Amino acid sequence: MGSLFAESRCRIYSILQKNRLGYACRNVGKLRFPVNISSQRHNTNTSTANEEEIKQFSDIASKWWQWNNKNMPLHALNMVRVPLIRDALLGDEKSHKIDQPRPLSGYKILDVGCGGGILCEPLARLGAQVTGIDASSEIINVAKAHASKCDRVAANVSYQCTTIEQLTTTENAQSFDAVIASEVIEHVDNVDLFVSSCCQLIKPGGKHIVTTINRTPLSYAVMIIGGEYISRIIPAGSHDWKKFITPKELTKKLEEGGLNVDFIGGIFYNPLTNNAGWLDNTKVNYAIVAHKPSENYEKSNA
Amino acid sequence: MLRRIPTAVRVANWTRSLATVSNSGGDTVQKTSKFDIVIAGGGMVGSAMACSIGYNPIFGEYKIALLEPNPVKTMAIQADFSNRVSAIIPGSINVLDDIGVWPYISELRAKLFQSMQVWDAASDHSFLLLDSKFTDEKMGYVVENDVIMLALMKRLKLLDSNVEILHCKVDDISLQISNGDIGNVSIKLDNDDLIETRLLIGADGPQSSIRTAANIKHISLPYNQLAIVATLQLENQNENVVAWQRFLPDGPIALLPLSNSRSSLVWTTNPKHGKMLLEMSNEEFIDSVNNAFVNNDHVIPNINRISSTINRGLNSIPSGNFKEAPQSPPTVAGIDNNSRGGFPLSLGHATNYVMNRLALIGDAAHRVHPLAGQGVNLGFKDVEVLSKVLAEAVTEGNDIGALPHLLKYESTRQLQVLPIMATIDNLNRLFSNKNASLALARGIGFQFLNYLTPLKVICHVIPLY
Repeated sequence: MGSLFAESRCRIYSILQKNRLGYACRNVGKLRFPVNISSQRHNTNTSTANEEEIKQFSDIASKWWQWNNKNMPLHALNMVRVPLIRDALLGDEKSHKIDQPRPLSGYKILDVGCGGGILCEPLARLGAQVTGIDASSEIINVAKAHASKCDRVAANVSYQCTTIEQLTTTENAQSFDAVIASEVIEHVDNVDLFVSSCCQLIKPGGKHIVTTINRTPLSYAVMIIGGEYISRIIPAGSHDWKKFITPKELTKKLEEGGLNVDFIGGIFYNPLTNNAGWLDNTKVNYAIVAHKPSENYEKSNA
Repeated sequence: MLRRIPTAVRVANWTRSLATVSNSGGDTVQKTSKFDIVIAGGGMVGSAMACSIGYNPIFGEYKIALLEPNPVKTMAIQADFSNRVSAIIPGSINVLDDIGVWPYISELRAKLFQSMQVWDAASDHSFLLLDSKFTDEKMGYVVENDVIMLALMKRLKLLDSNVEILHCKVDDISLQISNGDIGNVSIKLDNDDLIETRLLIGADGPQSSIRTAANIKHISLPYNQLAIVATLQLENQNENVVAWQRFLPDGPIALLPLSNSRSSLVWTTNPKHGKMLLEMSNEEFIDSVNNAFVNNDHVIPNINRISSTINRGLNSIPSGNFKEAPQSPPTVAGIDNNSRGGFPLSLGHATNYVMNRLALIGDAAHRVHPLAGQGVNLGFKDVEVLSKVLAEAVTEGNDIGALPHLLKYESTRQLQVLPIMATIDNLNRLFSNKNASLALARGIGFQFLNYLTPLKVICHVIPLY
């Protein structure tokens, strides 16, 4: 009797699943505004990589480079983050380097949680030596395969399947002109370890660029209810609101890692026009640019 | 959702032609040369595109190829004027100046026209006079297409290292796709060479084979009209600085200044009359042209009476630049040998200007009636917008052939092109008929437009006028 019930329930679920509206309802039913976040914030995992998250992204690995699928927001975000990284690195040199074919040549960049390489490839085209790391081997394979198709990219980019804390043991400390953590910090376990590992790999005078999502009621409404359940631009379950981090918290962590924050700016994404741009409001998406002071390096050496 | 549907369709369309090339590509072993940008079609617009990206230092490391099956014609200017001319508007002069081509053109041969008179055969009082005196801006230049080509080729020659010119035709194109991941465009040339590119720009004219191969929908509307062109000799060799256009019931007849002694004729008419014009003797042809500009056969008396009343009314209000009646164009005395030619007219518009790794420019994307002289000007504007979008994509490190930024070019240009196309098409329909009420409407329209100062307003409504 019990098994029969289970079977019929399964059937109802499968019918519901086929029905788009039913699917949405089922998921919306799970939505609950998370009030208690303490358990997540004090994560003491020794690894930053979250198995569930890795699996979630590996499942969509093959779709990473389709311009017509759900990665459109990530492609659009390049409109904001590529110029941000380029200008942060070039600084005063921007005016005379911007019109050159490879303004970023000579810069070594680390992209943490690079995914399929949506951000690595434009930076490589601008001439930077880019290292992309991701905890999912499937995604790294997608990234490698895609990079090999464009000579200009292939020459400047290398991918490794690893985590940031593992990289600190193999890579020389303070070896990158810029470490980028774009849309990744909200997916990792042990944010403290993640941030300190990132800080460790930045050269004195180097930059740290982070883009992520703020933890506000508005970001819950926009990213999770709006993005994942209503418009379904983002695959459902991509984000865990409790893992989002506020600019204040992130600033504190970066400062603990020995960085000075230079800039905090809000980012908007318009799914209808597929446009992204800057915003005064940092309540949903935002970017932080920080730098490692040069004298800090001398002090620690002395 | 709105954005995703067309994008998905664009990928699907492209893949359809994939089968043909994977077969033919399988048995050829030769090395394929890879390019970043390939421009198919080395006409005025395609060559301007090649100059535009070739001279921009930001594309310095990009491999660019221009495919043009026909070798360049003589590299010297002919003594006789060519019968194919374009009215180059100030916007296009800026584009040509930016790519360093305009100095060559003005050095070779270009005729400034300072004013333009447009009038209607149905009424004596229905005319419009546009003069650069009223608009601050220059009206434009009349330039032979051959001169534009020559200047572009001169400029491209200096670019040998950046832009490779291949004298080949495109046989087939296909988009490489594996696992939904978009690769390069494979182009099979008519000499059996295979080349690959990140971005293909189709500038291969109104019958674009690139557009067909990419399965882009194209709306084409043939006009039941033939355009007759000729280089005419004028009787009075005085200052020749006015462009004349008279709307006859079968289509407009236009006389564009080439020099003080020569003008270029573009006469749009019905195919039967057009054929007659092509076959008649030079003397008969000259008489027909002179007659077409001055005869009163098409005047509709009632309309004439109404417009003359309005004219008197408007005249009683003090105004700076009001003219009683249209001026007469110069009398034609002769015709240059072998300069008479005719071609059919059509309107065409591609539903999409871009696909993954593909962009259409010039007549491949849109073809208009020559009555407003907009054809090549629209093409040069395409060049300007597409170059800007591509340069921006490069500064952002984007894949040069990625759809997202190409869509910016498409939406910008379609928003500008469609109203112009509609205006030109409507003008042609409004004027090329014998309907009395339409004649009245355009008569009144013209009179008020003419009365309005500043005329700048009109210049922004209808780009050429």
